Amino acid sequence: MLHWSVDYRSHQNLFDYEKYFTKALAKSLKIEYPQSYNWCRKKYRILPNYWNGFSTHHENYEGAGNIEFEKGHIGSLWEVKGIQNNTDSAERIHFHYFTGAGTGIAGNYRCTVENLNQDGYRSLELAGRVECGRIELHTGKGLSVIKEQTQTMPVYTNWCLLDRLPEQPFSLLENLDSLYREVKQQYLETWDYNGERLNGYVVSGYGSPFSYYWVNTQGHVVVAVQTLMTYVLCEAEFQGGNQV
Amino acid sequence: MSDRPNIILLSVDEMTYTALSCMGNSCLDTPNMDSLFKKGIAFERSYSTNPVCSPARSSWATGRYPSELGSNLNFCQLASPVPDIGQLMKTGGYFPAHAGKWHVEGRDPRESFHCLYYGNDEIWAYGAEIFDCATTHAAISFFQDYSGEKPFYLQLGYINPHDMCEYLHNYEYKKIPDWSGFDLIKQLPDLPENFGVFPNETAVLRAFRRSDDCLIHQDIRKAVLAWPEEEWRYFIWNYYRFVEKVDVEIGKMLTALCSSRFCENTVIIFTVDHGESLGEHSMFQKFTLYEESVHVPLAIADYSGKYVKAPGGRSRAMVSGIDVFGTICDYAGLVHDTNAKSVRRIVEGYEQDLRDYIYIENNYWGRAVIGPRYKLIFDYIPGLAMDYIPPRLRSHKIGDMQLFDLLSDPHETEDLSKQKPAECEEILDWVADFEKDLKVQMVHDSARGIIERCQRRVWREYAIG
Repeated sequence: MLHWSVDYRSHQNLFDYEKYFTKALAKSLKIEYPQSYNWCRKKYRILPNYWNGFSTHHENYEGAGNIEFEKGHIGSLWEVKGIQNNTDSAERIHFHYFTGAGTGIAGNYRCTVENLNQDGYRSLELAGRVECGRIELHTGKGLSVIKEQTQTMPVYTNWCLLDRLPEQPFSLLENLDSLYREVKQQYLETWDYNGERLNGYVVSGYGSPFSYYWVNTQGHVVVAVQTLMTYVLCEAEFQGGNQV
Repeated sequence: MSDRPNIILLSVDEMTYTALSCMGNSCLDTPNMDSLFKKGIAFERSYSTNPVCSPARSSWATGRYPSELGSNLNFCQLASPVPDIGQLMKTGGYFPAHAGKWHVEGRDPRESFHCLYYGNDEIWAYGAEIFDCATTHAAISFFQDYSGEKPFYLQLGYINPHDMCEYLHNYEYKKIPDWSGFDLIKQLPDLPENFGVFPNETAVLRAFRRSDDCLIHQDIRKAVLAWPEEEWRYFIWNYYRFVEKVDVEIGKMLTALCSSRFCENTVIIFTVDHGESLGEHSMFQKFTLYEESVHVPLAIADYSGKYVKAPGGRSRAMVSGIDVFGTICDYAGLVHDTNAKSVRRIVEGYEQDLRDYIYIENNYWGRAVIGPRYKLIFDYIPGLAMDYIPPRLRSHKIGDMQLFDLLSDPHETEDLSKQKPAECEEILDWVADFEKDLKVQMVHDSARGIIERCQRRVWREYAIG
């Protein structure tokens, strides 16, 4: 049984949401998660949650793309780099940032956004910095995009949240370029799916309507559900064993 | 570069007039949209021409009422080859650019504009969360790279808080558990003062509240009937988060604009296609002629101090959605042959008033007329013969009416139509005169099935047929 928070079967007309959701989730539940690692790679499948009156998916549609990232340990930080390829929006985002253990994004970060549709807007280079809750973001040619101080620290991106869900309130720097301060998670309930126990959380706050995260017993987020998209972990690999 | 300013038409979707911090709403925080009002003139009595997306947006694009376009409903394609604002700007020496939602049915924005961002399909309603950030990226990229000699006209059509519709669609198919034990309940906004169904609603509205097959999303309508008070309050709470979401996008866009060379010579027209009923009159979404559905924010702003005489000022002038078109044309120095007016001279401090009455269309047979004090909501009774030409006083009988005193009863709870027949007559006299100039067009085939189904429901309310 799909939990109500992930059940978007009825919202689709040309797309078998349940098939792709359960296939990806089954894969993620078979993965062996080590107690500790110093490098990992994860891949999330993006599935649309649109109401069927709005969906215009073609017949061979298999979802809205993927998010894939790897993180490796460098000194006291994790270096994270990856690609979010959303075929519905036609935007592909390449991202690169550093996080500390429990301290969120630290120092310089960058992302490059491409519009795969090749309309008038083709791509945008963005470079930013997070330091003590101060966030600044500029385009490659020097236009300012964000210049803000948040009082709610640490600062996480949506990709951080896909990996591990923070326990304390935080600021969310979505796609590294949209800042939502004062976001928090609250425990929802457990969901027993095919013999696996998943813990559910509701994430909400400033600029953040309810979203739902399902976390396995090792603390990895296997499903995240936002208003328009469900993200399901479908691949993960780990190396090393020095650091949790 | 020309002396004429660059113009940005900045729109969001489905945002009610009161969903802004600067309007005194303490349940949300919208610093970026607020800044448009601080740097500009707020029009406190601005109204949609028709409180659904496509008709309202067609009015912005053409300066005509939906009945003049045969575009009275979503799914109605423009019935006639009227020029749109993109085409006019192009011939008028501007560089017309567009990103985001357009939703003028039957007109491809790529034919009228340099389309900065179109998505993988025409963006009308789906996918705001992902498309709004792409619209911002397109705008920032444009501010960074545009080097043309012509002034630009840039349309930025943000979709949120329209994603609230996705939240509501969840209730169509799923049993969502009772939220009352959830910790957030302490922070939920109160229900609105006018929560509830009030007596004497018109037949068109009664039909929409009761019947399947009318334009309202029927499965949402059925789901909300069972909502306890808390469910409505969670709905309002989540709606405000979608408003904050689009505010963040607008903040990024404005920050980039203000750090670009275009900050000095750009006028921003900020408005909304229609409102959202956050439990007011026990309704959700739009579709009605009550204030929460038709009253929309409008600000004319600039960040250089060049174009606005008294930034932070508020105007009580009554403005229609068609006047968005008239205002754009005025700033661009373009002449047009529509009834659209411009608020520019109010922004520049030369004039105070624009219109005596506002005319609003709705659900094909519904109409509202708003004057300085009174607002009349009325139905045209569907005739037995259907010619698909939008109804008007010359061709149809008036049905039910509601009259509200907006000064003493801004939440529209007490119908005065029986007590004040003279006020109703005065407004209907104005309607008769006004509609003489309305060049109504037959609606497109694409919407006729919906109109026929609704006609049967409205007949039933009038005990016809």
